[in-house]
Amino acid sequence: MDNRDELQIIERIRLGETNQFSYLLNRYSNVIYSLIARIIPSKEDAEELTQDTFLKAFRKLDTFKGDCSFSTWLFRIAYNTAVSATRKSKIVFPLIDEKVLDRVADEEADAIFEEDENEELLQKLEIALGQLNLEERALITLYYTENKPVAEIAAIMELTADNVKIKLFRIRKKLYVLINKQQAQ
Amino acid sequence: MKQDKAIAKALKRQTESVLPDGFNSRMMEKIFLAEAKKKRQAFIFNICLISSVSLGLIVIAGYLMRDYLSGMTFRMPTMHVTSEALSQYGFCFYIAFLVMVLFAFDHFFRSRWQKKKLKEAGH
Repeated sequence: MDNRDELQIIERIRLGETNQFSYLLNRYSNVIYSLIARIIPSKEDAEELTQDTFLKAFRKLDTFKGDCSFSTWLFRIAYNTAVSATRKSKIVFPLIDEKVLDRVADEEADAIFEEDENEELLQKLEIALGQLNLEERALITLYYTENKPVAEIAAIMELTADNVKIKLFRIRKKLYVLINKQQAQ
Repeated sequence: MKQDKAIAKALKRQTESVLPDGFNSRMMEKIFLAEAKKKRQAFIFNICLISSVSLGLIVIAGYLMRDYLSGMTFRMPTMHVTSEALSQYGFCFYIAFLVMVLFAFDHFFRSRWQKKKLKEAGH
């Protein structure tokens, strides 16, 4: 199914063929759930938020103008739904001083993250990933797991492309600092 | 940054995210319910709109009756239909008939266009 087919299906849903929505569900339900599950730790909550995302998408389908791809539009709804859900629960994430992050050289982070066979590093990295805040988790999930280009991530998260790049670099440095903290303990 | 194999691998190793069986069919049921609700809300909105407009018209009519027509004595209008007036009536009926024909054409072509659009979306 390419973008044109998808737009035709959306048009048919708008004209009243609601059963066509199942095509969109089959195509996107797992990727949307995968994104939300990586942002929200509870599986039950992630499933409920996936449902909310699709219900919102169905209700707002008339407002989809086609100026971006349907997947970008849907990911944006999913991200915003997850953000508003976590806003209610006040989770505290570890803060790292900006000066500490500035001291980490890009080359140091490059060297450590290039290697994927070091089991100890991977375990520490998994713990460090759990300490990232919601926006950071969403960013790296979209970039590394969903392989979305920076421009699309910017459209989903309503940021500029430059801002996305800067944030990605800072997340790498944060992960590096968090791993080093674990080694020091 | 795309070379950050360790981050990609660690993310992959985190909890496998697969939706439970039957999620999509349950979701479709909810979508159908949402659609029914949407239609019901639109129906209620239309009823409210029509009711309020009708009520407004009745109030305006009542106001006119009270303030402007109360002083008048009611008498049956006497009609003198001249041949000139008859031709004017005929002309008015002709225009009204044309408007009705145009409405019918509009409805016919609209439904044809909608069917065509649906058919195109089907292929």
